[in-house]
Amino acid sequence: MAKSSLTFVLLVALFLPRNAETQSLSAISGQAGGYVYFAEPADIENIRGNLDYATSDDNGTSIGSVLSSAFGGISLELTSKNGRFVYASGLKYSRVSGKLSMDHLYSFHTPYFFFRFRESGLVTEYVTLRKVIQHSDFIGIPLEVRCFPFDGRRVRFYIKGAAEVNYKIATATEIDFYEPAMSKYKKQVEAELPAVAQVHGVLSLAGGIRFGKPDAILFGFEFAGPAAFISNDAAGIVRPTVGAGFLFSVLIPVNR
Amino acid sequence: MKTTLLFAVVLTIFLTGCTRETELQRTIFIEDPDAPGLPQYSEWGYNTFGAYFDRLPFVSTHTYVPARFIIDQGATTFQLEGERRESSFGTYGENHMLSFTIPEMDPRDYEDLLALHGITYNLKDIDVFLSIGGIPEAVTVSEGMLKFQRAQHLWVDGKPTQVILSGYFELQGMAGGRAVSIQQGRFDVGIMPGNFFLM
Repeated sequence: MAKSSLTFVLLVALFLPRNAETQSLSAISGQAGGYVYFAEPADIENIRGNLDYATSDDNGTSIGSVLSSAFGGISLELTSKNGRFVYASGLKYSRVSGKLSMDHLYSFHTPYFFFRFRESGLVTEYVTLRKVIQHSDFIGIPLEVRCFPFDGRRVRFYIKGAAEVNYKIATATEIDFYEPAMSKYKKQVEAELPAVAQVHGVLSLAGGIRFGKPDAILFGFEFAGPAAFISNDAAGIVRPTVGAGFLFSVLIPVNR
Repeated sequence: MKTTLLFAVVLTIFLTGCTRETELQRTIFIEDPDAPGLPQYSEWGYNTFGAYFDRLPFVSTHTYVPARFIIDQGATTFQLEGERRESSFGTYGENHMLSFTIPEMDPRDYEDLLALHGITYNLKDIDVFLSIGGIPEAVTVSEGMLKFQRAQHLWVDGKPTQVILSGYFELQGMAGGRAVSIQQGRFDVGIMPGNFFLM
């Protein structure tokens, strides 16, 4: 996974224009935003029930699953000579949270699911859980290409293609036990959960707008979607399918 | 306001009334892709069983309690009750019950069923009954077995809850003057005080 993400990002980098005459450093950008991904529970063999039947009351265990991320970062931007293309890269911190929960009691589901955490001889032990959240912190390197198809002085629209590779720097698990006394087994439950991958890649498309006076500080807003993990097995307890998000940015022009 | 409050109280009672035991008694039917109409073999206490009864699926349903243990006058009977479907894709069928009399066993509590772990019975050596539409017939078995692949004592949230019995069965024989064949049988049932009868 790490190799494939890195290879992909390097391939993207190869397609960035490398001729210094055709581009110039144009801005330093600060960004913040968030994503939400539709997700399904990962193959967690210790959960009782058939998670494939995610909406079936009769045959499965209906567990809500979602993956979300919040991020902030800083990038340097290069602009092509004709001003139509902007290439950006930098550093990005993100916190990604995968969640399995029985929060939504649609169809009168029980507010918990069964999780097998220990087997010893003829004894099998389950705990009932309301919610499991895996929080992971990442440092990432984004590579972005923005295309501005129209001219404009104070307002410019763009479309963006982006790839990023993220390296995990920390992770923590939050478990909400239905029976509070069982929280003493948190470590055993945690040990049975799929781990978040050390490295993952994300691809995304976006559309946005930048506005502000020429040669002054610019502000940007973009709506990102679709976004997808390169490998959907990288996110631990959930398997993200497709996501959408938003991004705010502030740009300080340089070399003008 | 009063209506809302009443609804909230009823909802709370309903939700808290769904105990862990009730939830564990639910049937979770996950179809076996290699045996259409039958549940996959599992060891989770999904309260399912299934077999091909003369080629048609004889399976547990949500209507009938899929398994019972009845201990009466020293005889221990293991019953599987469900329906025989009209086809592999059918959803309705006639009530059928298959009963095995387990020899040399006199459990006093459902937890005593753990003794069945890993035990295989030759059905030629034990009494087998087949009930179709409520009429029981003794089965003269020419060949058959009942295998308790795994018995587990299930604890939920630190409390003993049930014994899960998982295994296989199949037989050929005569019942009521008719040849019967039950093949690829598998079961995964939870036994707790609610379906353990000490008469």
